[in-house]
Amino acid sequence: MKHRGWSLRARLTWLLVGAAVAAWIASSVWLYRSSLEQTNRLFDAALVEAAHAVLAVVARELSHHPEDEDEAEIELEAVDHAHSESIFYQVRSSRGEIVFRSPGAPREPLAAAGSAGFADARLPGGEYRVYSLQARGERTTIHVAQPVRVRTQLAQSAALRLLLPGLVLAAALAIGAWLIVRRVTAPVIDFAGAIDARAPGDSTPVRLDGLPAELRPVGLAVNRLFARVDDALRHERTLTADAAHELRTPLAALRAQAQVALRARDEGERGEALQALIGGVDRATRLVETVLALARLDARSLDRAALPAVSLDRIAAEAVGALKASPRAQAIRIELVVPAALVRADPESLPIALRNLCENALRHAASRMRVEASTDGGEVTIAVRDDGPGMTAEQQARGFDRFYRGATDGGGAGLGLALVKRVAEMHGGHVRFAAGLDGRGLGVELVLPGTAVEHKA
Amino acid sequence: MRLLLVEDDAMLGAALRTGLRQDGHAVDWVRSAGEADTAWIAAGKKAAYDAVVLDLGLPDGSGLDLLKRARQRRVATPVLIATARDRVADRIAGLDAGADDYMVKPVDLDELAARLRAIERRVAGRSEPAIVIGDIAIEPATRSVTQGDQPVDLTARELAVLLALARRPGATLSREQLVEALYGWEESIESNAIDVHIHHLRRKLGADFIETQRGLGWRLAGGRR
Repeated sequence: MKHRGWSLRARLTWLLVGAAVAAWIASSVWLYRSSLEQTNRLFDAALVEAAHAVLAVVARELSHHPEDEDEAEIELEAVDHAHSESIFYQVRSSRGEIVFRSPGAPREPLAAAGSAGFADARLPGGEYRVYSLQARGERTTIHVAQPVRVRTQLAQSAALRLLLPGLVLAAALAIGAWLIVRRVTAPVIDFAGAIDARAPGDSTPVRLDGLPAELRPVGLAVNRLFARVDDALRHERTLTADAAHELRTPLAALRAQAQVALRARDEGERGEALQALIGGVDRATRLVETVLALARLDARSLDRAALPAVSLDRIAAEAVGALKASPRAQAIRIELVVPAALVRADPESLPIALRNLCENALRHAASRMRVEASTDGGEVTIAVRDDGPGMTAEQQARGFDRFYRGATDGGGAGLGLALVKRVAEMHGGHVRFAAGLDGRGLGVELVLPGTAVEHKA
Repeated sequence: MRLLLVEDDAMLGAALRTGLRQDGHAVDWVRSAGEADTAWIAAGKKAAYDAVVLDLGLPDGSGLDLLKRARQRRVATPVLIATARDRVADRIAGLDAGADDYMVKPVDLDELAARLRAIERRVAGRSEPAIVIGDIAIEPATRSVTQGDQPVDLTARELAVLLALARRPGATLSREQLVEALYGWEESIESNAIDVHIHHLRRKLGADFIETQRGLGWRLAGGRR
């Protein structure tokens, strides 16, 4: 667990906090913009109102001194407004001169003479929002202005009021998010801990109750894996126990024969014992070889999609051909009825299985045995039958068990059919007992689904 | 001793049979629980076995079940289990099922012989290893016989006849009983074989050492003590 990789918890926490902060900032920006808009509207209306108020005063003053309109300095104290401290105005004559100016108003004209409506002015003193009004038949222009700074400051302060506590809250949010994430991801950690804390040999299923729906598939997959591992382990243990038991007997026999030879009182007795000893060594060798072959098959797993096409008839012919070395093959008629066909199968294990079936049949056949095969809709069935004593239902029930020899000891180790079964399973198929020949004997059918390729021409 | 050997493995069975015969026992060998049942339990009191050497893993059933069945039917033949099952629990189960002894394969033939001798002593109610009848002493372990202080040279068969008679001192053994004690099923017996062995024993140990009960059989004279 040293390489933890990235952490689900850390990532979730950061994402949550990040998303919240981003939302916070976004809403602040939105608030700033919308309050700016709002302020603009309000202040624009105030500007218009102020302009008209100025207009009214100007109109009155000018009506008193209609002759010297250009010189009159008019105090516009009457012009009062809620935002008066931030609102300036200029009154310009028809010649464009500024005749009236509120205190604090810039000396530069706020807008072009003769303009009307809203405009934005950039003057040395700053930016201004300007509303212009034409009065007295366009002889007088009134500019009412407000620094833009006033408006943005207002909007900014509104946005900051939201943003500042947000910074404090973000820290609280980070802690809260961490706690929530901890709580939400606790089942994941517990699940990992439960798996991690198991003893090496423990392959009992992990408890799935209390696991969130998202983790259930993982739990199920883990349990399936455990089941497979358990299966393999139990298999291994059984085989080891059986092998120990089954190896001990031939070894005990070897020892006893050797001792018999030692204790022999004459050459004949000694020769007999030594001969038996050699037979026993051969038998133990065969047993070890079969156990090893089985162990190799156990360790082997087939990629069934990538199996090569092998010639079924050739494998069958080779299996039957291998029997010819046995002296029994002279007395038994061996029939081979296998169509020329290609099957997708393991070129290593399938011949071993077939050879075992053939050897069994030859060992038990009374007068004849037959190897046959058929392909039906992609399914290949290989059957080996004999006319020997056959097996009782009871014996058949245990027939594919490892080290099961049946009541008739043919000298085998009881592994041949177990090996055939293993090969069938490797191919995704199965093996079963079937009818023998002439109404007696035994047949064994090896069924391999989805392996037939095509009939050769 | 006449022994029943129950062992399914062909080679081990053959070796044990030969080894036990080398020790002078008459051995019947069966390879399944069914055959053992027929030869031993079903035969009941008529079964003349002095001991059974029993393998537990038999093709048609457990040797342990066979043993339990025998004990249920009050068949008292001593049983020595010889098996590959080496767990302590297996040994306990075997002994508690009525076995007299338990050996784990691989079995040493000399040890097996010694354990069978121990069983024989226990059955005879004897604690000392030697069998003493009059001035004759038989050491089953070394298969040596002494008369006074003089060693007596006996053949395996002669010793077997002597042991069979000495095992039940005073009892009369018929020809059939002696044949049973000396020969396994497969061994061929000449019709006068027992008479020949008795004749040789008398010549080596003294004519009146073995008494003839006419029409019944033979017994050891010294056994009447």
